[in-house]
Amino acid sequence: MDITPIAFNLPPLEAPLLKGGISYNEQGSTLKGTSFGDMLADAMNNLKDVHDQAEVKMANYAAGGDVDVADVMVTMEKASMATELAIQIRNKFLDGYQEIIRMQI
Amino acid sequence: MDLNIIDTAASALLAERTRMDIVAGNLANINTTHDAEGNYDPYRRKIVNFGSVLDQESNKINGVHVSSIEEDPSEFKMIYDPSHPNADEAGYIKMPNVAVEREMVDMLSAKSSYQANIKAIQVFKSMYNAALEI
Repeated sequence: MDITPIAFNLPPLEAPLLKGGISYNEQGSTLKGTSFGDMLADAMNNLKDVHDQAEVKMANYAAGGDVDVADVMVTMEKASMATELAIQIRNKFLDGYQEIIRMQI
Repeated sequence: MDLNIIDTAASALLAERTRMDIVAGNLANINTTHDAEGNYDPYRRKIVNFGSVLDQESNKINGVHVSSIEEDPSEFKMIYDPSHPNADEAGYIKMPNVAVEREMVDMLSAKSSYQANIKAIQVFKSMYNAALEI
């Protein structure tokens, strides 16, 4: 009996933190170019940008600038969501790392 | 998952806030018969028009903005007040075409839309957090 693979018509998952992270070669099997470390550094820079934005808005609002409260809250919320994603990525990476460290040789 | 939904809802928050601004202005000027320079020119009720925002990259509609603020062309209210310095020969004076009832309805509608959009952000946030628990 043939089992036909299920074709998902979903767009690839795009994490805002990992833009320009992984690139595959023609075979699509091995990674080339950016290392995981570079990717992580890139993601951290993006995260820092989001936080800087939130901080600028917050300071502007506190100084009595012409900023909408909702806008400040939304920007801060975005920063917090990006941070949570970064923490989850770190957790997953560390889980994998620990698994390898505990490997019996 | 990107954060476009939040931007979409946030644009609606700003638009509804502007609508609330205009309602407040209409209510504040309900008895205004003179313009900023002090000439006899009754206040005309302002109306906010919303327009959708098209995202150039994805060619999808995401968000709303205030496309224009116009004036209500309807007739002024005529009030009989012969002692008023600006009254006409028959003793009538023109009052702004603002109706409190309509402004109240507009205000409640703006408030409900605002709350609905905040709810949309909250629900998206809980979906996002649920995805992070995978």
